[in-house]
Amino acid sequence: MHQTWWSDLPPELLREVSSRLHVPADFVRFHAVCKPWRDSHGPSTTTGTGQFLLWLLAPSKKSEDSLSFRCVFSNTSYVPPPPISDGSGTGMNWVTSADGTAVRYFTAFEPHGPTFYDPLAGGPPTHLLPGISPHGLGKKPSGIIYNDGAILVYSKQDSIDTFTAEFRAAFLRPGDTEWMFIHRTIESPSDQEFCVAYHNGKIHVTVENSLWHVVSVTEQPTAATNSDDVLVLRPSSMPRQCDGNLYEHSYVLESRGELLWVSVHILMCYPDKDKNGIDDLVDALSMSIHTLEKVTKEPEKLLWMRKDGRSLEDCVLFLGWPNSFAVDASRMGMSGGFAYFLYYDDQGGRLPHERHGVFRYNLIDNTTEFVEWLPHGLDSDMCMWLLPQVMVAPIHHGPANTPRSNNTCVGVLMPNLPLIAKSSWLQHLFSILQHLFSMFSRLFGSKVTY
Amino acid sequence: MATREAGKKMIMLKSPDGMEFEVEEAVAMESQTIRKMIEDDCADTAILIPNINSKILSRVIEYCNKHVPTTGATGAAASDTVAPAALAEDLKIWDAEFIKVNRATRFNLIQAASYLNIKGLLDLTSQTTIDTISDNSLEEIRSFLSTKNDYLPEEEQTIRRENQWAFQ
Repeated sequence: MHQTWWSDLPPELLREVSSRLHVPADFVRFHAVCKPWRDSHGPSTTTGTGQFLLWLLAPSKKSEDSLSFRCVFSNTSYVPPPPISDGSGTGMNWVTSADGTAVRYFTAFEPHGPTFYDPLAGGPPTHLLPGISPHGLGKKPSGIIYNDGAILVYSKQDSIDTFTAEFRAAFLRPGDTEWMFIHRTIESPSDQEFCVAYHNGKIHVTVENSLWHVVSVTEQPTAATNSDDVLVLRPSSMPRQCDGNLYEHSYVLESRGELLWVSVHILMCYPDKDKNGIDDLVDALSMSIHTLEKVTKEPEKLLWMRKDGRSLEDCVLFLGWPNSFAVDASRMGMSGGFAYFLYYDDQGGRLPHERHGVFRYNLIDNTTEFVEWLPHGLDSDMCMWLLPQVMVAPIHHGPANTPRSNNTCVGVLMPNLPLIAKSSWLQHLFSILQHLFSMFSRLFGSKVTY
Repeated sequence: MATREAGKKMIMLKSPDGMEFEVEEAVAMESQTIRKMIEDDCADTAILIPNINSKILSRVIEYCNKHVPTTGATGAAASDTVAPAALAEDLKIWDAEFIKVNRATRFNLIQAASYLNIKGLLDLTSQTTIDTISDNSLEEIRSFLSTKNDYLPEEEQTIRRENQWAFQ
């Protein structure tokens, strides 16, 4: 009988099949089967938003320096090994792109200074502009890379005695020659969650659902104090405790030029001894959305205004920490008008173990649906969504004796990043140059700056 | 062109091994490739389907017969009396049985679906390939699909090392 080789399928047919792969690991393995299957993808084409199911990321319980990846929609999990361990277990955290397409480990610790590591594709680290003191940035800084290329890394440290928190941030825009530092002491009733966003040239920060500080970064604000900030009060339209609503937590995100503040609330009557099932929980959860609006220009006055969920009927919100984002539903092939979020349920301490669940809020009819309880190891408050971007490059390049560069891989790409060589070949070159420079500096005792 | 019943235009499809299949035009037009030929008036008395042998062509026609919209007066199923959801469920079961074929037939079917541009059949045949990839290790995928592993050991190692998460 004539032998049929699946590797002989024409490239356009292979592309038809691979365009139907919605799990990133399947996509990678499809292109690992054989060379024709890998090459069917064409040279260095990025496949991303819309094709793949989203991941949820959480710090791994096993190792503080590691991340767990969970695809809620396909019930699969991955734990990539940590790229490095800084030994302290406190310096590593992650930074994500605002559009949710990429994640990087971040450390500000010596010997390399501020550095990004790619937890998925691996490869050499990307060194950022030096000049961040890890101690000046506080413990476990995390952050966001915005679509215009600005990088914001920050941390919060509570002072329980004084009911305040120290907020420290480092900020770098494309073209800046040095990092900008922001340090604010903000009121914090206890060890509470906090929200940070860079929007319209300003950094917005709050602890719990109280006062927002809007810090201008149009000029070097190092000398500026809290008194220069614009303060924005909690809106009266937010569900109130006297009406039986408890504030739970918030997310902040930019969508179509607007800054959205999304808060999760729960009815105080949950849990009750007769009402503690999942149906009771979803009935008790609700969401409120506000958008920041400028009321007056001089002096600047800002207000949070209630936003009707129906205005988001063509969007899907993916809410997490530190980053949340909105995507066009049509691009994702999903129904619009929904917000995916996380809720930690311990039923007021009545459950032997707390549980973390993924929920979906319907922004049109204001109802909540349960999606799944997260498996143990991924049950962290610090969960964040990721839209995986996968790049496939041919495995063979040029003559066989040419040293192979690092672009011979399938990797997860991070678009729109400044200071990051987009081509991994450039990264490779950069690391070689660094190695040479460090050799020279050792030989001649000179200080080398990049 | 042949006309078997009033209002039902028939088309003759020919496989390269000399077999002829007379099918309703609506059934043949499940294939976008054939539809275009008919619409462009390229279809004369018979359409030769190159590269698809009679065995596979008969299976493809069987698939199209089942999937052609049954809105006509003499449709196979009285679709207006059956709920659309039940009809879809019935088709799903039928598809699952239809695709229970050996590897070589599946290989030929996916190629035929692609050449003839029959979306439903391409979805079905692609999905079985995807299921193979989702459920198995790389070695198993290669074995099930009988693909040649043409990577050098060093290349294979690079692929696996750089994407460990995908091979867990």
